[in-house]
Amino acid sequence: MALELIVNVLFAIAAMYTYWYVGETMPESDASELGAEQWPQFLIVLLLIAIAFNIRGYFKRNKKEDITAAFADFVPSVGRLLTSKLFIGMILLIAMAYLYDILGFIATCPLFMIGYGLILGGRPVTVIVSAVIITFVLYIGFSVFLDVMLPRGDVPFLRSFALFVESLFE
Amino acid sequence: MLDLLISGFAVMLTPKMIFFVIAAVFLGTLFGALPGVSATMAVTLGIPFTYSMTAVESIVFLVAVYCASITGGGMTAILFKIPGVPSSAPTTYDGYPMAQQGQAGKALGIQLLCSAIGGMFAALAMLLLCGPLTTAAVSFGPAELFAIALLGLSILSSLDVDNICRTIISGLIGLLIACIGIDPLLGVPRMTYGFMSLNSGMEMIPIMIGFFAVTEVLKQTRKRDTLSAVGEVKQMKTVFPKLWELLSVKWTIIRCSVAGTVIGILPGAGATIAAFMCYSMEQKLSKHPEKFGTGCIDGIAAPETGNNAATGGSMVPLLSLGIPGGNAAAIMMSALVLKGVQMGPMLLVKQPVFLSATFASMFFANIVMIFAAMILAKVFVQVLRIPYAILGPMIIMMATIGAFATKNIATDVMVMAVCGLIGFAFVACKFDVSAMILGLVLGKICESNLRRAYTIADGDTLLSTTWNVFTQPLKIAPVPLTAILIITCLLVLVSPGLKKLWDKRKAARA
Repeated sequence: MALELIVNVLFAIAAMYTYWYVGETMPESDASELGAEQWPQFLIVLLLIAIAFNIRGYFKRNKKEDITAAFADFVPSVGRLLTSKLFIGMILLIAMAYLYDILGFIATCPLFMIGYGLILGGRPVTVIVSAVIITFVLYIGFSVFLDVMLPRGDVPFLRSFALFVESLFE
Repeated sequence: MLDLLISGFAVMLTPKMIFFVIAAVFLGTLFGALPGVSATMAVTLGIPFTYSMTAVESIVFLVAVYCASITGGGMTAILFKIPGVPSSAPTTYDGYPMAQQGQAGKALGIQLLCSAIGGMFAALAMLLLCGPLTTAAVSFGPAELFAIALLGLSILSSLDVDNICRTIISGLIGLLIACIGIDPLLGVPRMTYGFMSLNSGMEMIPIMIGFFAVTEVLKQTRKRDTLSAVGEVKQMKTVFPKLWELLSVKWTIIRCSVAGTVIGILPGAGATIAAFMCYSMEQKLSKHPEKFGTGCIDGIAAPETGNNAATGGSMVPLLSLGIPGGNAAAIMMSALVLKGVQMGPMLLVKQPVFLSATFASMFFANIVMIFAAMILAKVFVQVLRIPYAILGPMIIMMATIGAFATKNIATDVMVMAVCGLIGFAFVACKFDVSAMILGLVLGKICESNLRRAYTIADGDTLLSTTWNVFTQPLKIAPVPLTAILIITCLLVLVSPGLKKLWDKRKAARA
């Protein structure tokens, strides 16, 4: 509940900054033309009005003591989130996105699938075996048969391995 | 018309295309059947398969995935009371009780036949409606096209009556994100905050994949670790209804085909709304409404015909106006834009093959779907036992392939991941991801048309130009269509609020 209010306020701040930023950085438009800054600024004005209504609705919907309790619980709830499997999943996702091009598909896919599968409570043997099989099927399916570019990675031996796998089907 | 039919089937009836559609139908049915994989996500996951295809092949493939996923969702609704896609939720009301009575095969047969009939009716309606709509749309100027795009957004906001404000905020954020990048008329970087990488604007496909596929997996991560298949069905055999049984629901099928198609055409309204509306409409019209919910075939026929008919309806605004009717259509549009296809009224004038191929694909897919679903029904229970610990990460990896292959740059994968996280926060704060995506897709259409309209219109001041833009008549008739559409937008926007107010007063009086 606290997050909702915080997000609304953050949206409002970002919108106000963007309003100023667009006005400052765009060339001045003709008196009779809709310039590059006016359309986003018009949207921002509408957005600010909608956010104001939403915040008003938030205070109407929720009782004062509930809001106070939600804010008192905000820091502990962040702590709970940081130790949850969801947060570990989020970290894994970002790590996978970062390493995807560096390690290549053949290494990233099984590592991510094993990691995510284990945090989802999968049996280790099942998760590992399925991760390897799925990586193989996806790589061959997309890279070889569908001609979809998949990264081979920047690490020399991983790149060589990817090329070796592809050569098996050429 | 005959030319369109011939060209459509000429495109469709080649070994390559037949293979694509059959593959798409199996893929779509499977995706649709998996709880947690919506029809939109099914289309999203279908995108990586289209990268090596031509634009026409891509739309044929994605349309088949879309139609099949809607049907696939109904199968789990009947067998396990788990709607595979949200639009199959009303199918559980009568489908599952029928399965409990030992008539699961029959329920499945009715569902498949009605889905196919609804889908084929909508395909035909699409073929008939797109032509005249395109002819009218060609005479539209930028002001009218802006108003039509705006209408799409306003209708969306009115659909979630309890959440109007958050839906409007979501749509506006989408419209604002669409402003990022080089300004379409002046050619200067706008809202890039000094980041060169933002100059080319936000790439739609990674954003959509992030919001629809990754966010969904994150949501499921919080919820559960396995797909729980309830029920005691071990193997399923589809039993088609007898002719008299099918004839007994003929009016239900006809009414729901029409209603589903019309609802599908409305921008923002989709298969889910069509299914619920058709179910409640048939319950009200039935001579025996008390039978609904106990396992009657009307209760399966209504939502399944309606949701499949909506798939064809949603393609009408996309193909004839270049405005997506819903999320799945928005993804298809992005996939076509990626292939260099210029969306808009001129698409069907210059390349009518898109309409004919889409029609042929829908028609063919709905027939193939019956056989595909019959085959898949036999291995269904085993497929549904795949633990989410395997399915979830696999969905993310397929999504990653789709995001990366857009431009073969790692940044898009990071965009997808970040959008997945933002989408999760969005859902946690009860904002509407669909509204945001529709805003994002319609943003460029809205702005470029509006600004072109201002450039064309005469006026000394911004106010007088605005008046001229909104009141100018159509080329073909002395009708100020822009003004009419804008007024309609405003009415649509305020009507849910007014209705709420009216209901409150009525309740207070009572």
